[in-house]
Amino acid sequence: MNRSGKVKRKGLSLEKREALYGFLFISPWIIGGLLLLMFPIFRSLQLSVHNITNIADWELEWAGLEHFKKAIFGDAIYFEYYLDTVKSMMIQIPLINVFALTVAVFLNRRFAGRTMFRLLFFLPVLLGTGFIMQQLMGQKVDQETMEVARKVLLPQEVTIYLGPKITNWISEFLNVITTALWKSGVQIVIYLAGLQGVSRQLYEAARVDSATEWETFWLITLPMVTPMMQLNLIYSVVDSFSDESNSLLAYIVRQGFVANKFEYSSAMGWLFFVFAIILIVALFLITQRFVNRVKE
Amino acid sequence: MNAKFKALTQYPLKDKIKRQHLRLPVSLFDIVVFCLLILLAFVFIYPFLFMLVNSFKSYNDIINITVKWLPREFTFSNYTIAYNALQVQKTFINSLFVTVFATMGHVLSCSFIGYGFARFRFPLRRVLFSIVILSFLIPVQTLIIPMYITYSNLNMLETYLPLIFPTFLGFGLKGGLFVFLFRQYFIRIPKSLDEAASIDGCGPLRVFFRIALPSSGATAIVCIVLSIVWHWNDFYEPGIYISSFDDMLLPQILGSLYHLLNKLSVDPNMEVAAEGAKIMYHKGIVMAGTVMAILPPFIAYLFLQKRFIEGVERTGLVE
Repeated sequence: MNRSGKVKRKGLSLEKREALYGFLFISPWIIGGLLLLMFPIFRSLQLSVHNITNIADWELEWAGLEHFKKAIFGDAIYFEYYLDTVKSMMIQIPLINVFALTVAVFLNRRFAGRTMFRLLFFLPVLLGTGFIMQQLMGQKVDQETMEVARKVLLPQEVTIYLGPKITNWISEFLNVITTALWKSGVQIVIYLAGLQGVSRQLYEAARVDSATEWETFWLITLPMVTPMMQLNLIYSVVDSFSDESNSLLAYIVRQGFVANKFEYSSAMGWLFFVFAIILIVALFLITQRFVNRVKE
Repeated sequence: MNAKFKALTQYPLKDKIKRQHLRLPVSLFDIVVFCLLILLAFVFIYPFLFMLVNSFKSYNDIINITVKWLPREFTFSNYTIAYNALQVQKTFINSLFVTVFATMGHVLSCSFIGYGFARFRFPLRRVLFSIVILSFLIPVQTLIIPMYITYSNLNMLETYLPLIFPTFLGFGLKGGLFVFLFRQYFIRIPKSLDEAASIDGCGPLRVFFRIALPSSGATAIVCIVLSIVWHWNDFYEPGIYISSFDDMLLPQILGSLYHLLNKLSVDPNMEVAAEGAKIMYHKGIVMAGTVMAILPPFIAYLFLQKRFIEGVERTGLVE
């Protein structure tokens, strides 16, 4: 009684009060969103269709789609980097996800030394970002790792038998896998979290019905982790987009900060971002049909 | 009757016992999985071992290809040279400062905002929350130029504010992800808990700080670990905003260690040496620098790993 009386006195209904508190809680984010998201997005879009005449006072001159045209038709380097990036992404994203899921399924089993393995497999969370990756790539550690892995999988005798062409092909494949593995830290974490959430009853029911482990994986595990898979696919796209070792992004930033062509750089950035958004939305819509929603 | 019942049950039971006897304690599949895991673990651990071993090698050992894993001349000199070149005593403090404050900002603001999205119904909630996700999807690089100009107009360049300030508003390095994680957590804890508190006269702010935030330990640990690691490792944004040598962060300066060493190098033979030889010459030092730079997040990870892994298993990631 007391509560409703108080509300009446203030002249606010419960819903309005709740909404007010909601806005109070997200108010830092709204300020941040306007300041750190909307404003730069607006400025960056503005830059991409203008020419700067005076940067300190933000004096601009309308340029139309000139920078976009230049990026698409007049810049061979940009085009090449763009294709390269798209290609390596198309190869790496499925690989990263297959590996991350496999490792997570293995780690979810019960065996001796599981804790130690988990500790190890989360190391890429440390390794996969920033400077360590850069340092190691500089020292060609990825190639060395691949070389050792190849020797384990394919001893000398076998490579002689297969001939240089196939051996090379396998080496290249292993190289891609090594880098993909190093980038799969967060994805393994997400999949493992998903696997932990699958109800034990389902597995028990499957065992009672004498399903093999292989069948259990395809019929229970995989459908149950589809939400994680969706999240992971999208995360992998974002991750490879904002990756520092991405040569396209390096080129864009170089054009902006070294060559002082901020307008051109913005236009190239937007072209790239539009592609990313299209890819993410497409991925989301396609995967949405397969995602298995469990009602709580 | 009894005999008939026995006859009915006996056969399948016997069969079952037989099957259990046949089943080995460890199946072939388990062994295969174990071997595969060891192979994969090798791929993960190799770079770390490589760094560690090379950082203790002398120049003679590095150019000698027969010395692979055990350095013949065990030396610490790489570490002392790298320590001085990187000015670790200064850059370490700088990095620590940024990482601590940015992580604090992330945990405080993202839990606060996440609670708002999880607990209260307000107009445009779904739209705003999808913008949270979107904010995490936009690569920093797309917006870096207007941000740079804005910060330069605010006279915030050459300070750590552009790195720390956004984290207190739920942005910064992958801030959207942390808001998402906290929201997923708060949406799952029973609402009756805060209702009880608010009947006792607790306002929503107090409910958040006294009840909701302290209960979010597992999620907070996941955010803390990820935020520490990402902030410590990031050299892209610091590289844009900070150019003065005294204020540089450790990973940032590490990127230029090789060039730095070339400049500092006193060996006259190295002045004219080929690029490949120079890389070899400085390899041990660069590796020692890298080991020193990853040590702090690594130690943090070792301390928090148990709770981190538990936290991962319990985060609201699983819907």
